[in-house]
Amino acid sequence: MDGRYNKATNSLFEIKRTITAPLDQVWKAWSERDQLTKWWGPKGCSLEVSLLEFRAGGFFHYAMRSGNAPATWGRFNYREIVPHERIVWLNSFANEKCGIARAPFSDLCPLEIENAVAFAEQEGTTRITLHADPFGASVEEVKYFAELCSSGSLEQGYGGTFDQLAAHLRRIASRS
Amino acid sequence: MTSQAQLDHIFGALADATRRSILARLVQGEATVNELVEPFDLKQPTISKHLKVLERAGLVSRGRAAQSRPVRLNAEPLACAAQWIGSYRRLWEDSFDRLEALLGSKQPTPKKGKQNGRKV
Repeated sequence: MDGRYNKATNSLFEIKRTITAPLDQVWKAWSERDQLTKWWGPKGCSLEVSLLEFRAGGFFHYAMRSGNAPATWGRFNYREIVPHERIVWLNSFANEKCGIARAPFSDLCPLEIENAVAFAEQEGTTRITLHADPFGASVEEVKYFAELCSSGSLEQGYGGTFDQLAAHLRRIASRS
Repeated sequence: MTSQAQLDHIFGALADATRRSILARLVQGEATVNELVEPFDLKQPTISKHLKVLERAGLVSRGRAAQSRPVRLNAEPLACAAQWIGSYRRLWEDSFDRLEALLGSKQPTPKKGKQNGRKV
């Protein structure tokens, strides 16, 4: 195996959701600063935007905060934006200056994850389809991401006990 | 301690499988060092060393009163990072849940009909 795969036909990650709202509203939620921060990101963490340049080549740079814990920075680097149709971006951890950073918890997590989201309106509802794949990653990094995507298996990799910790943290996060 | 230094401590602490297991054990409730030694095939000084790392990261605290100084989990510093450690799918499921709530897609509960509001 040379670690390459055909992501056009075989994404490592796919998630779909139909939202009961017109496409125009959904698009605004993905493209406008005050809206984006209200829904995107880890549960229980507030998102502070330091930069949002919603155009191809632009950045969305944000700090994730929970309680008194220090902020974890992240960024989107937009690659393609087709209004009301499609957004492609690279997601990664970042430093406070919007420089790219390794995942704070593992050197094996791909530096960048390419996300592609497509929207389709149907009778007042909007179908959202999102694909994600590691970008420019090594074989090991691809493997790590594949585990991260198959829900729960990463936790099992920690000896089966780590899922309890993860569940506990989610409860804490949902309280804050 | 600067934020960055604290973050380094937190993730440094999490990089070790034994320490993650200790945290997982503490989810069930506080434990003495002896209780923590049991499930692991490790000597007490080794466990104590791991606990020091976890303590420095602010992830556990030790009781003062009892001689056994029970160890307690303090998981708040992990809340944001945990989402990533957990699952990429969950991150998106949770985000989509909030997107749905934001756009008011939950059908508004129909107001109780004023018309003929009498119930049998």
